[in-house]
Amino acid sequence: MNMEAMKILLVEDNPDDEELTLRALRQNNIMNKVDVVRDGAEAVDYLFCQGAYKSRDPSQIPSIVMLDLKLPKIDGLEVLRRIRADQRTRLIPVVILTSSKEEQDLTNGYSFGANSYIRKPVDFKQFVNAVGQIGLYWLVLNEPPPR
Amino acid sequence: MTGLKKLRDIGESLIARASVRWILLLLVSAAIIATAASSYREIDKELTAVALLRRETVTKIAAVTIAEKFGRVVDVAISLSTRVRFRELVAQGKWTEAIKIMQNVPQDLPHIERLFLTDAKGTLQADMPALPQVRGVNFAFREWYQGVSRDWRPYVSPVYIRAAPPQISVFAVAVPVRNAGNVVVGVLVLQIRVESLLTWINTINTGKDGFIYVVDSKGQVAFHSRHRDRPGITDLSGTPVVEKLLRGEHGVETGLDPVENEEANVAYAPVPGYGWGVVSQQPLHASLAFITKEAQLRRLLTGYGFILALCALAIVMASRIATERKRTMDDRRMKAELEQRVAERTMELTQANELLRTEVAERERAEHKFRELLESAPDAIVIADQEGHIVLVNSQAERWFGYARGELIDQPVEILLPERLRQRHAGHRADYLSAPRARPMGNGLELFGRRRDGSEFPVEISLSPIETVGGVWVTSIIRDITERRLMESERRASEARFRAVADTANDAIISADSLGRVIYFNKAGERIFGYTAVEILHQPLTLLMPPRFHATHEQGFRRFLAGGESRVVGRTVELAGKRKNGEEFPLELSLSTWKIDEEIFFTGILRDITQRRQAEESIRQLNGNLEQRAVAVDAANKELEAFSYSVSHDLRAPLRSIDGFGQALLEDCADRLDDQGRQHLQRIRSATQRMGTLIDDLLMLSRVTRAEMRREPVDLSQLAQSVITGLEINEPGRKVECQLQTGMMADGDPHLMRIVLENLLGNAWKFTQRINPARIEMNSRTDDSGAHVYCVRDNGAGFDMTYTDKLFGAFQRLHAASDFPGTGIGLATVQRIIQRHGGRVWAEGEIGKGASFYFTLGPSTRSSLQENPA
Repeated sequence: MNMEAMKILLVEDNPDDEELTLRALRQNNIMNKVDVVRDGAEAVDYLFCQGAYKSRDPSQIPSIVMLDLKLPKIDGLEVLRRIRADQRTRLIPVVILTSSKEEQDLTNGYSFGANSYIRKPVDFKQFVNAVGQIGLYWLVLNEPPPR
Repeated sequence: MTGLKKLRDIGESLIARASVRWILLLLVSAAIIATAASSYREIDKELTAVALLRRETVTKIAAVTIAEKFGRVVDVAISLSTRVRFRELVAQGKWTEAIKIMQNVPQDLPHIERLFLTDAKGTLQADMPALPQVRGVNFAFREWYQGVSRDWRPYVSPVYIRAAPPQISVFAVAVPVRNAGNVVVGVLVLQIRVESLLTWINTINTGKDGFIYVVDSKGQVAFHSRHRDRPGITDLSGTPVVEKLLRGEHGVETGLDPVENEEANVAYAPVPGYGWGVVSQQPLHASLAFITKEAQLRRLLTGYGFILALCALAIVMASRIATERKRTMDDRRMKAELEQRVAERTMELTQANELLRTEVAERERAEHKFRELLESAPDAIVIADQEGHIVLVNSQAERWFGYARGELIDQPVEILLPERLRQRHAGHRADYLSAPRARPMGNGLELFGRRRDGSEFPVEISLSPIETVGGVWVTSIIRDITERRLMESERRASEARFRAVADTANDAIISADSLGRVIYFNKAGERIFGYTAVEILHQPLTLLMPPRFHATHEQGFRRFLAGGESRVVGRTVELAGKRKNGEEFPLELSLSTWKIDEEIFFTGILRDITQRRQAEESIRQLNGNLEQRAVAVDAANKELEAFSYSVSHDLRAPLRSIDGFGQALLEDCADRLDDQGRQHLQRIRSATQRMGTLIDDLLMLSRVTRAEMRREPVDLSQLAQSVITGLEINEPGRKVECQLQTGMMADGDPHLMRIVLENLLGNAWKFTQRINPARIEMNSRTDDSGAHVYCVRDNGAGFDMTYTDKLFGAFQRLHAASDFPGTGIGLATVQRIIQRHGGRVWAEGEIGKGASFYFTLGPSTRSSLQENPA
C-alpha cells in the first residue's frame, strides 16, 4: 500500500497543537503525508477542491481526517456535517481530536457521524500514545471503505 | 098485612081443596125436602171448611209468634255473650266475675229462669242463681251442648226437665263465647222456663173443647193448653201429625187423634227456623155439635108437622142459608185479612230479625275493629269510668306500665301516676268531668307515668269523654315521650353545637328560605356585612348584593326553584357582596340546599376575600419579579455554560503546549540540559498536568451542578462493584479487601450516583494505599426516621475530626498532595450531588484509623421540574 496515497488531513488552528500532533505522529512512525488546514473554511475548500484548493486532484481523498472542533470561520461540527452530506466525502473516517470533554460536543460529534472522539490529554506522553493508536487503527488495522 | 092476608087466603083456599092441597103439599114438600137436603150438604161442607181454616190460621200465628219469641231470646243470648268485658273475663277463665255481669238479666227477662256458663268442653263453671251441686258437672251430654258445639252457632234445645228442683220443663238457648282471637272459650246458656215463655198460648181461643200444644224439635210436648199440669214430658213424635210437623210440613185435616182417642179437626204448623211445631185441635163432635142438634130438630118437625115443618124448615133454611152465606162471606174475608196480617206480621218479624242480626253482626264487627284499633294503636289507651276506675286498657298500656290487664281493671287510674301527683290528679279528674271534651291533658306541663316497678317516664296524654249508660267515661291516650324527650334534647344539643360552630366560624353562614328571605345569619355574617342578625332576618337576600346583580339573582333563584340548573348551588363561586355601609367587596360563596317537607332552603358560606384578592395581587407581582429573576438566572446559566465550554477548550490548550514542548525539550535537547534543568522541566510538566486535572475536576463540579437530574432506582451495590473493578484494573498491584453489601437500592440519578461512588470509593482506595491489609466496606442501614443511610468505610489514613467541616469544601485538602494526590474537589462534588438529591453527607474518622463517609438521599419528588442551579 502506498503510504503517499494514504494521506492524513489535519484540521487544526493552533500551531502548537499542529506541531505536537505532527511530532506525535512521527514518534509513532506514522510516515503518511499530512496535509494541514487551519480553519473550517479551508478544510471545506480542501475537501471539495474549491477556493484555494481548486487545482487539487479530487481523486486524492484523505484516508483519515483529524478534526478539531473549535475552529475559526466554520467550526468542526459543521465541517463534519458537510463531509457526511457530500457523496464524495461521506465515507471518509473522521476522528475528532479536541480539548473538550463537554457532553454536548461528544453527543454532537457522534450524532454528526464522527468515527472516533479523542480528547487531547494535557500529558504529552499520553497524547503521543493516543495519536499512535489512532494511526495504528485507522491507517493499518482498519480496512478503508471502497473507493 | 095484605100479603099475609092474601097468603092466608090462598092457603085457606088451597087447604080448602084437599086434593090440590095434598098435591101441592106433596110438591112443595118434595121441593122443600130436595132443597133442604141439598142445602144441608152445602152448609155442612162450608161449615167444616170454615172451622178448619180458622184453626189453621190460629196455628200459623202461634207458630210465627213462637219463632219470634225464640229469636228474641237468641238475640239476648248473643248480645250478652259478645259483651267485651264478659268475653275478656271468660277468656281469662274468670267465670264467677263473668257471670256477675249477667246479674240483672233474670230480673229484666223473667222467662230466663237461670243462666250458666260452661267452658268449651261443657263443664259448668258458673251459674246464676248459683247451685253448688251442679258446679263442675259436665253437661256435654245435654242436647243444648251437642247442638251448640256442632257448629258453634246459637242453638235452641228441645225441652227437658231441670236437673235440680223444682223439676219443671225448660229449654236452653246456648251461645258460644269467643275470645278476641275468635276462638270459642265457653258457652253461655240461658235456661228458659217453657211455661212462662209460652203461657200466652192459653189466651188463644181454640173453640169449644179445643186445645193447642207445642212440640219441640224432638216431637216432645213442650206446652199443652189442655194438660198443663201433667208432670214429665210426653213424647208425641210417633203420631202422624207430629211426624209431619217434624218434617216441616203444615196443614189441616180431620182424623182420629190416637192420643185423645177422638175424631178431631187438626191444624199444624212448624215454628220456622227452630224445628218446633204447633198443633191446634178440636174434637169433631164439638165443632159440629150444632148441626147434630139441627138434625134432631128436623126429625121432630118431620114427625109432628110435616108441612109446617117443611115450611118452617124452608123458612128457617132460607134464613139460615142467607145468614150462613153472609157468615161464610165474612169468614172468608176474615180469613183473608188474617192471612194478610199473618203475612205482614211474618214479614215485619223477619225484617226485625234481620235488622237485629245485622245490628248484632255490625256491633261485633265494630267491636272487633275497635279492639284491633285499640291494640294496634302505638299509644297506651286507658279508659276509666266516672269514678276514675279503669275499665279498659290496651296491651300497649300493659307493656308500658308493666301491669297485666287484670291488675289494672277496676283500679283507680291514679295507680298509673307517680305518688306525688295522685292527689292532685283526683282533683283534675273532677274538673275534667265537669266539662268533658277531647283535649290534651295538662297543657304545657310535663306529665309522667309510673310503671309498676315505681320508675317514671314522661308522657303526653290526650283525653276524650265517652257517654255511656254508666256515666261519662274518659279515654286517655297516653304516649311515651321518653324517646322524643331524648331526641329533643339531642336536637337542642345539636343545635347548640351548630350555633357554636356557626358563631365561631370566620365565614358568614347565611340561610334563606324558598322566598329568598334570610332565616339565619351568624356572627361572622354580622361582622362581614355590618348588619345585625335582627336587622337582616326575614329580609331578602338581595340586601346583601350590589343592586346590579339583583335581577340575575332573582332569575337564577326562580329557575332553580322551578327545577332548573343552578350556576351556584353545590359549587364555590366568587361574587360581589354589599355591606350595610354600601361598600362592595369580593366574596367566595359555597351554596348548598336542603329540604324540609318539600320546602327548599339554602345555606351559603360566604368568605370575605378582599384580603385574599390583595394577597393574590401581591403574589402576581412577586411572580412577575420571580420571572424576571428566572430570566436573569437563565442568562447567567447560559453564560456559565459558555464559560465552562470555553474553559474546557481554551484553558487546556496552553497547558498541553507547555507540557508537550516541555517534553519535546527533554527529548530533543536532553544532551544540552543538566540534571537540574531536566528536573525543572519535569516540575513544569507535573504542574501543568495537575492544572489539567484541576480544570477537569472543576468542570465536573460545575457539570454535576448544572446537569439535568433524573431519579430512578439505582442498584448501588452493582454500581459500587463496577467502580471497584475499575480501580482494580487501574492499579492491578493493589490488594484491597472489599466488602460490598448486596442489594443496596437507591433512588437517584445513575450517572451522578456513579460520580459519588467513584469519589468515595476512589478516596477509600487512595487513602488505604499504605495499609496492609487494606479494607473497604460499603453498606446501608435504616435510621430512626426510616431513611436509608449509606456508608463507605475504609481502614486508611483517616482524618482529624477537628477539620471535618472543611472536608466537603472545594479545594480543601486535609492531606499533603505529596502524600495523597488530589484536587480537593471530589468531596465537594459528592456533597453537591447528595444535596441535589435532597440528602445529607457527613464523615467520621480518626487519623490512622480510617474514615467513614455517610450519605442519605432525600425522598424522590419524581418531578420533571428542572432544578434551579445553585
